[in-house]
Amino acid sequence: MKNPTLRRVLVVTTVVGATLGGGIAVAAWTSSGSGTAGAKAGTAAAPTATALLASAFTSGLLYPGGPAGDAKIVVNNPNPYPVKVTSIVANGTPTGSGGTGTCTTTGVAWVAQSPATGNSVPANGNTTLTLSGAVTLSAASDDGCQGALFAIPVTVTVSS
Amino acid sequence: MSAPRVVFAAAMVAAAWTTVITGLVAVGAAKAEAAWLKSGPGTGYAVAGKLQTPDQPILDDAKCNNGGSGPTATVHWNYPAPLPSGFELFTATSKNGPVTSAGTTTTTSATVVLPSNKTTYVSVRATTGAWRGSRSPEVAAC
Repeated sequence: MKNPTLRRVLVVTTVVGATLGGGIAVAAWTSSGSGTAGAKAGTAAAPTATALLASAFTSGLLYPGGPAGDAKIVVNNPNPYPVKVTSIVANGTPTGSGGTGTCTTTGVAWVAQSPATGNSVPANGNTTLTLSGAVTLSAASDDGCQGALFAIPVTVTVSS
Repeated sequence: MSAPRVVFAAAMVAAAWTTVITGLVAVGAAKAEAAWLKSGPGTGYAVAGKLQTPDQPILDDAKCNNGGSGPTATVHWNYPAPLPSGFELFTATSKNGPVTSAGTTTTTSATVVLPSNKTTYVSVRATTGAWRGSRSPEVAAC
């Protein structure tokens, strides 16, 4: 092709055309990917938890104003695939039972947890997580809370 | 069309597709992560310890007729656990009788002012925050 102007027009046309074609492809792919992701979220089941007894604790006990103690939680995975616990945050008022007396003011506070190890839960199974330093006890804890088992409502988030 | 211009045009097309694919990968990854997260309610558990009972205090010194300063007893005791934040001392004028608070300390020894120069029984208990332990066995002074 000997006409320079014509050559320039062809080059520009080629580039613009290719770019527009890419844009059209983007729209088509985005639509398809979005639909698939939504279907997976709808089938995932939320984790659940199982009760524990005070006898499960042999260390990391709490004392008013003392260092943060241990917490335990049993996470059940109802899904047919393994998951990992990514966060556990407080979600309610702790209660105390089984202490030496009345335990109305527990003084318990949950420290948000993002476990990085030992947090795998097998498919259709459960795992007991021991979280060091996850709970503190304030000096306001009632005298009757000595020896009590504290139940602390939390929200557990898992990922696959 | 000259070779340089063909190369230039090809580079432009490649750059455009690279941008498109990179964007698609990023969007896809974000959506996948959101789809796999799931939250649910649960219950965490923790257990409170108990304050221990101090051993029976040991009488180190008793000043039963102490002139104007009044009678005193110096005692120490062992605590069978890591130390609590404090101890509260008690005196009683009869063995295992009603007790009166005789002060506090953060260590395992104290000098207690006695109510009289007659036989007085001294005991101690651990304290932490609002928690109170059981009283120790008593030791007689004077």
